[in-house]
Amino acid sequence: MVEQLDDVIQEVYVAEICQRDAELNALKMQIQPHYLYNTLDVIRMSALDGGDGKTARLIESLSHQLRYVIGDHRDRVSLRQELDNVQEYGVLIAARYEGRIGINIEAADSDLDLLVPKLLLQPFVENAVKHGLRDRIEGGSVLVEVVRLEDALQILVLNDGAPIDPERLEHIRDFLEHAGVGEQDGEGIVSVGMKNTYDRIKLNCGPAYGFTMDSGGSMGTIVTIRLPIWRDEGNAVEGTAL
Amino acid sequence: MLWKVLLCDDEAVIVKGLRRLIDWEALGVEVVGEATDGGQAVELIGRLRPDLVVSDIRMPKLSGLDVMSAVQSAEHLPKFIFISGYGEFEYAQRALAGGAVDYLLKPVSAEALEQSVRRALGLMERSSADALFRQPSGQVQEFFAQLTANREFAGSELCGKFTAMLEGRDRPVFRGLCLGLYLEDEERLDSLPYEKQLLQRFMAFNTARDLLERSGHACFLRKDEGHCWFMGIFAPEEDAERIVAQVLAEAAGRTGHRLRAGLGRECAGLDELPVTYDDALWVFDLYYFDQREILCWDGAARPLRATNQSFDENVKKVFHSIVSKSEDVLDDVDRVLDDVAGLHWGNRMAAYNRTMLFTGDICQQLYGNRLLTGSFTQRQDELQHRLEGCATFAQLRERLRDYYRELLPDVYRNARGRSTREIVRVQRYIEEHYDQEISLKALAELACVSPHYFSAYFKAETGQNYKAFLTRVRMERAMGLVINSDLKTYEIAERVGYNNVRRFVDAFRAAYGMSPLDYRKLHKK
Repeated sequence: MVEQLDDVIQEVYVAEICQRDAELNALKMQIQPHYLYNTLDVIRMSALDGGDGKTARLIESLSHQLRYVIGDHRDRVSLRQELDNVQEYGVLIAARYEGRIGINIEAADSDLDLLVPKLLLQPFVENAVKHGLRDRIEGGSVLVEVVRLEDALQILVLNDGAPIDPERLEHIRDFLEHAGVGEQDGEGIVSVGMKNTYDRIKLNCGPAYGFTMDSGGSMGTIVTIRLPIWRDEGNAVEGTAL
Repeated sequence: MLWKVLLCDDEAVIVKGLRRLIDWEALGVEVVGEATDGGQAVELIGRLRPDLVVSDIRMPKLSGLDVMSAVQSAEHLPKFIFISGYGEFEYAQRALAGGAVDYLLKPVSAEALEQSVRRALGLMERSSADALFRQPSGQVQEFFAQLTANREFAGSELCGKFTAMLEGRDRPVFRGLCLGLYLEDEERLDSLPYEKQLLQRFMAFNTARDLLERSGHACFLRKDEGHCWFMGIFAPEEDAERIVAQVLAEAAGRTGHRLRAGLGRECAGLDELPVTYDDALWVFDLYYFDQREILCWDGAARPLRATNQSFDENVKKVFHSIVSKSEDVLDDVDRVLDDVAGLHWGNRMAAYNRTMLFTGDICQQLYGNRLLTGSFTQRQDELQHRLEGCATFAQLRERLRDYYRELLPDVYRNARGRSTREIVRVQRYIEEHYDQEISLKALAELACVSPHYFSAYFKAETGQNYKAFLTRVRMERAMGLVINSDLKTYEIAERVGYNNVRRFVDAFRAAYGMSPLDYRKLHKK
């Protein structure tokens, strides 16, 4: 009986997501991406013409990111694409914080063709910057490290900045583990985005996957994301999703 | 001779931007014209005869594709590279089908355009490292290319970052640097839960990396499970070792984890980067023999103090010491290990292997003489288990000493248990055949040991040389004959197995203090 209830909840939630997806698509259509990209390109070329290579590069980054977010409705992308997006985000962050915050990526070339949920990593990297590094004078760095394990694809997002307060960490863990699908955090600590990502992984990949986080006493935070090993078309699922 | 390129886009700004996007001149290409619509493009192609046309697909009057088909019959047919914006995928496909060399998606990156142009004009393609380094190809590019071979993301920035760090540095000195955790710190980390461990490791290395990069003293190269490599960049008068020591101390203070380092040799030229990079790890591993926090290349090479000959001799000594139950066994083992260290300084594997081999040989000999029983392979496995996990040579030495110390009672026990039977057999044989010439070979055979070993063996078991035993037996018999018979001296000598009377008399005198005749005189009264 409980299982059936769970199924119903999932169904309803999934339906909601589909609904929201549809709405989003409609919005995307209205934006007229063609116009947006062209305009950005003009601005970029203008900057180049004016001898401002730096600005041109930043606009290029923004352009890439927009394309990634708005374009192409597939919900699975290659790791390469996802990391490309993180890297472009890194370019903007470096400029914004004058080089004080750096984003490094470590991934073996042989893993870059594996598939991951689209826009999975951005929220984590953003969090690392916002909560861990932004307010520190000396800045710091974020490391996104990909390791292929036997039974899963592990992606770590580490930063050497301010740690998460232990109580806060406890609350986040507790909420993620026990809150139902689609539920919102009354205390506002776990953002909707973070909960969404958590739910997304659970729903799309299976209960054996997801992410956990830990903080290092006096410094640093690590988020450990576990994903199934998806190859190519995404139909040949290798991880054992229960 | 310069190649000629024509740029086409309906927006003048874009064309201007394309002019500045890459260094056309460096590629040997001249921008001979610009067109803002298809018709103009066709006209200019006919007039200027460019080798290459870079054009937007969408243009007024004629599209890029139309332009391409319009000039098919031209004498000097240019190559086409198309730039396509959002949602024009089918156009792009048609472009390629129609013979275009490439199509690039907006926003066009500098690297993408350059590669495309190179490909179109048949110029050699650059690796991404080159593109950022902007210098003629050489060993440096190869060095970075190799380092980043399977790491597209990590690698793409590396060369550029390194070059940037070199800016404004007057005659820098390069030194490879390898960092790693102390064993105790490694072990402490291993006991932590998984995520905490990952985070602590990250912090340990990242803090050092941060300190090194911010001060401009080193550029991060790569890392693996337990190490982190950098290329140190120092001013000629700077003391690299001291600087690294400070960084290590600072990092340890912040994270609570201690790192140690290996510093490669000093290089002035960029072409020596690979050498000093390799040095760093080699020198780092030298910790096995030399426990210092920072190991530097210059001090690392140790003169060979041992020879294979001294090694062999010392190994033989160990065997003899064991067999003769000498108290010096462990000291002899130490001497062998000194030779091993001398012969294989810097090569942990070789030192370990040599140690396994010589101990294995000694054990085999002991087995051959039945001084050890049980499974030889099991013993070797046990030894391997004990030695291969040693963190330092000093530790290997300790464990090897323990091994020999534990081995000895086994050997002695086997020796004792067996010898009662064999030794008695030998003694009896001597007592029965004292009147004959007794060969070492015969005795050894009786005792079931090798002749080479027999003498030490008998001595070890009885505390007496076998010759001395034989002599004693002979003298006792001789004594009997002296007192209880009237045989002449030479007859007695013969009866007890001497074929030289003089020697017999000397022996008798040595045993009893006087000649046989005198003895008879004394005791026969």
